[in-house]
Amino acid sequence: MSDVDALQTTLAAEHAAVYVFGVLGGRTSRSAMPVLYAAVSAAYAAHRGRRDQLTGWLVDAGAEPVAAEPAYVVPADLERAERIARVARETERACATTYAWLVANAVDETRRWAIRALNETAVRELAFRGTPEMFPGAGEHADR
Amino acid sequence: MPAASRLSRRAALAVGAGGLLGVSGCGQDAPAPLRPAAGGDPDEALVDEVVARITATAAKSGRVPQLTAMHAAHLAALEAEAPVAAAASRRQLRRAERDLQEFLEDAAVRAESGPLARLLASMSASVSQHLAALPSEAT
Repeated sequence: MSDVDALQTTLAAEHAAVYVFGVLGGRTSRSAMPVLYAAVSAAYAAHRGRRDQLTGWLVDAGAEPVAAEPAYVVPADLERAERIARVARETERACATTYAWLVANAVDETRRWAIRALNETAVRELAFRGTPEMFPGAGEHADR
Repeated sequence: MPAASRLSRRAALAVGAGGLLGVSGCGQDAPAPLRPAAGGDPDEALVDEVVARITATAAKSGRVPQLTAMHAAHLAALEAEAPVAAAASRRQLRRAERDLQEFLEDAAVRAESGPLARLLASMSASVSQHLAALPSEAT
């Protein structure tokens, strides 16, 4: 797999994350759930930033960045804070898996970027009632 | 640990590292198999260095059971045994954990093997998570 292919795959995941956090932001009350609202907003901004970085790198590499899908399937029943936090947590965990995969499929500065993204998404997951894991993004090692 | 043991471990990492890529609902396929380590073991010295650094940090973590357990899990993934943990001062412990996180990040960049890099990066993220989750009075 080339670096471009790996970045395209990661970008596709970021498109989905941006979409999901956008939906979650729309379902989160700033007044009734201020802490969750702030966490969802921060996650949305972070993933938008990652998406834009990836897009820029692909353009610089002469590739056409993969486009976002028109829509993504988002779980229903997003009325309660617990449910919103759960979807947010699962989204961050999925992103951690993607970043960890990119680590294995990239080298040098792209790998370092992926490592830092993995660290950041793992910490951000805690804002959504997550608990520390032994192997964020690589959970199969916990079972060995 | 014998070198042969680590090599077989590395091969297992290469096989087991494929996984979910997609975020909620994005429906991507699983990634292609990760590139295996080339012949020989160019990461042998790096793994030794990582084990030594984790062991040294683990030896200070007796005050915080969550950190002791994390280090034991990480050492087990590298087929090394955890040391007996003593209780360092809170300031020393937090500093040691931060240093370890940065070291693991650098080690992941240096790794020749993609699966090993992934494992080390995951360990660095685990240290970040545990540090962030600790109450301020714990360290």
